[in-house]
Amino acid sequence: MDKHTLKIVGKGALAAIFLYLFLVGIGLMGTAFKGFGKEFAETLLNTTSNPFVALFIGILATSLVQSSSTTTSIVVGLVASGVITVGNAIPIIMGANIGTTVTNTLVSLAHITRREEFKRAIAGATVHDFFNLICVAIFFPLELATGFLQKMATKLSTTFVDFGGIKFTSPIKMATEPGIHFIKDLFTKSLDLSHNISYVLILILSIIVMYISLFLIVKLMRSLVIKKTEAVLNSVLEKNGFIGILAGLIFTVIVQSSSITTSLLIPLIGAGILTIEVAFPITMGANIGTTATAILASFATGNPAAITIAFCHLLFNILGVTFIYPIKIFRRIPIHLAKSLGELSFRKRRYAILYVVSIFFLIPALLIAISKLFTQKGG
Amino acid sequence: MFKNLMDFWKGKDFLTRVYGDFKVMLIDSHGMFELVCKKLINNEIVTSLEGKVYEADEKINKLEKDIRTQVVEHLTLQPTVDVSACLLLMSVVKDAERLGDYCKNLLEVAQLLEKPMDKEKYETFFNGMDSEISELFKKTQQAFVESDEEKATSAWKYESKIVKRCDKIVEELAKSNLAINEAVCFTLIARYFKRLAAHLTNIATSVVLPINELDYFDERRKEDDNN
Repeated sequence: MDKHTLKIVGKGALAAIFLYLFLVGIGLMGTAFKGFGKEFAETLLNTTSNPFVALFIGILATSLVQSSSTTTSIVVGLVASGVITVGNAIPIIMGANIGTTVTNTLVSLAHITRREEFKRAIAGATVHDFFNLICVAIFFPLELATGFLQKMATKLSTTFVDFGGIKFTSPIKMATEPGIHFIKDLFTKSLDLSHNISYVLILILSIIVMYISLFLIVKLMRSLVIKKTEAVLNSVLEKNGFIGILAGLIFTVIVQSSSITTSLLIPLIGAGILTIEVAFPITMGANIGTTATAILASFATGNPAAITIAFCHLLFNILGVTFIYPIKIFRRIPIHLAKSLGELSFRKRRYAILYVVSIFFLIPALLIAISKLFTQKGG
Repeated sequence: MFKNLMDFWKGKDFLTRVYGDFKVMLIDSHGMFELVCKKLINNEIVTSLEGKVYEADEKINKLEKDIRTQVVEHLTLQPTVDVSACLLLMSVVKDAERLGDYCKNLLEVAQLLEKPMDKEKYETFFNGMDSEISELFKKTQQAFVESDEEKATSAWKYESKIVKRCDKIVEELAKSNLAINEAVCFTLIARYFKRLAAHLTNIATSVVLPINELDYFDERRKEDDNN
C-alpha cells in the first residue's frame, strides 16, 4: 500500500471513528434529557407547542450553529427521549431548513467589494433561501391544517419497522450503547455528583462530542472527496438539472453538510463560471442529502418516533423538490426572487446585510420574544 | 478490486490536467505558426489555410477559458493547494492565447502582400528568423512542461537575440527604399516576430522567475548583467 492510499484509508477510518462518537453523542443527549425528568419535558413541550415559535426556534438555532445537521440531530435526540413530540418537532425541522442557508449567504458577503460579482454571488446564495422559504410557506400551513407530513412519515417509519428496519439498524444501536452506558455510569455512579448536575454535564458533553465529531467528519470527508469532485465537476455542470440534484445529494450525503455543498458554489457563481440556473438544482439535491445525518442519528436511537421525525425532514425536502423543480413557472420563482435581491444589493449593498440580519436573526428572535410575552400574559 | 477503486479515486490531479491543456495550446500555436510561415515566407500553397488557422485559434481561445475555469474551480474547492501554480497559469495562459493571435496577424500580412514574398529580400533582413522562432516554440514547450530551468534560461537568452535583431530590422527598413507594401509588410512581420518571441519567453521564464516578477524577465536580465 503506497503512502497516498494509506492516507485515504486512514482518513476513512478516522471518519468512521468520529461517526461513532457522533452517534454516541446523540444517545447521550437522549439519556440526559430523560434524566432531567418530567418537569423539564413539560417546559420544553410548552415552549414548542406553538408551531410558529418552534419554526423560529429552528431558524434561529440553525443560523447560530450554522448547521442544520446539528439542529436536526438534536431534535431527533429530543424526540427519541420523549421530551418533545413529533408534531412539535416538525416546525423546528422546517425552520432548520431555512436557518441552514445562512452559511452560504454569509459566504456571498465576502464578494461585497466587487459589485457585479456580489450581485451574482448574493443571488446564487439566496436562491437556496427563497426555495426553502417557499417550501415552508407552502408546507407549514398545510401541515398545520392536515398533519400530512407526520402521517406520511409515520407510515413510512412503521413500514420500515415492520420490514425489520429497526432490526437492520440495531447494530448501530448495539455498537453505541456500551459507550453511552459507560459515560452515563461514569457521571451518575462513579463520580460523586448530584442527579441534576450529572445530567447537565452529560448534556454538555453530548453537545460538545456531537458538534466536534460532526465538524471533523465534514472536514475529513470533504478532504477525501474534494479531488474527485473537482475532476467530475465540469461534466456534472454540463448535464441537466436532475444530474445536478443527484450530484448535490450524493456530495452532501458524503460530506454530511449542505452548507459545504452550497457554499462551494458561491465563489463559482460570483466569478460568473456557474449560473444560478445550473447551481439551483445542486442546492436542492443538497437539501435532500443533508437529511442523511438525522436519519443516521435516528437509527442510532432505534426509536420509532425519532425515525419518524427524521423521515419527516426527508419527505419535506423531497416534496419541496418534486413540487417546485419540475414545473418551469414554479422553478423560476426562487430564481427570480434571488436575482431581484441581487439587483437590489447591487444598487445598495446594505440591503444584503439587512436581509441576512433580519431573516435569520432579528425576525425569528423578535417573534419568539413576542410570542413568549403573549404566552406569559395569557398564562 | 481495492486497487482499481483506489486508482479511480486518485485519478488525474488538477495540475496534470491543466498542464496537459496548456501544452496543447503551445503545440497548436506552434502548428499555426509553421502553417502561416509556409504561406507567408515560402509561398507554399496550403489548402484551406485560413480555415485551419482560425479553427486552431478558436481552439486555443477555448482552452484558455477552460484553464481559467479549472483554476477558479480548483481554488474554490481547495483554496490552499497549488496557489502559485494557479496564479502562474492565469498569467501564462494569456501569453499562450496571444501566440495564436499573432499567428493570425501574420496570416493577415500574407494577405496584405501584393505579390508573393521575395525570399531573397526576406532573408537579407530576417536571416532565418522564422526557424529561430520555431525553435523557441520548442524550447518554451520543453522548459514549461518539464519545468526545466536550464531550457528556460536558454530560451531567455535566445529571445534577447531575436528582440535586438527585430529592432534592428525595423531601423533598416525605415532607411530602405523598398516599395511601400513590402516595407509595411516586413515591418509588421518584424513586430509580430518580436511579440511572439516575447510571449514565448514570458512562458519559458515563468519556470525560473518568482511569481511577482512574471513578464519582467528583461528587468531581471539587466540586474543579472549588472551583477
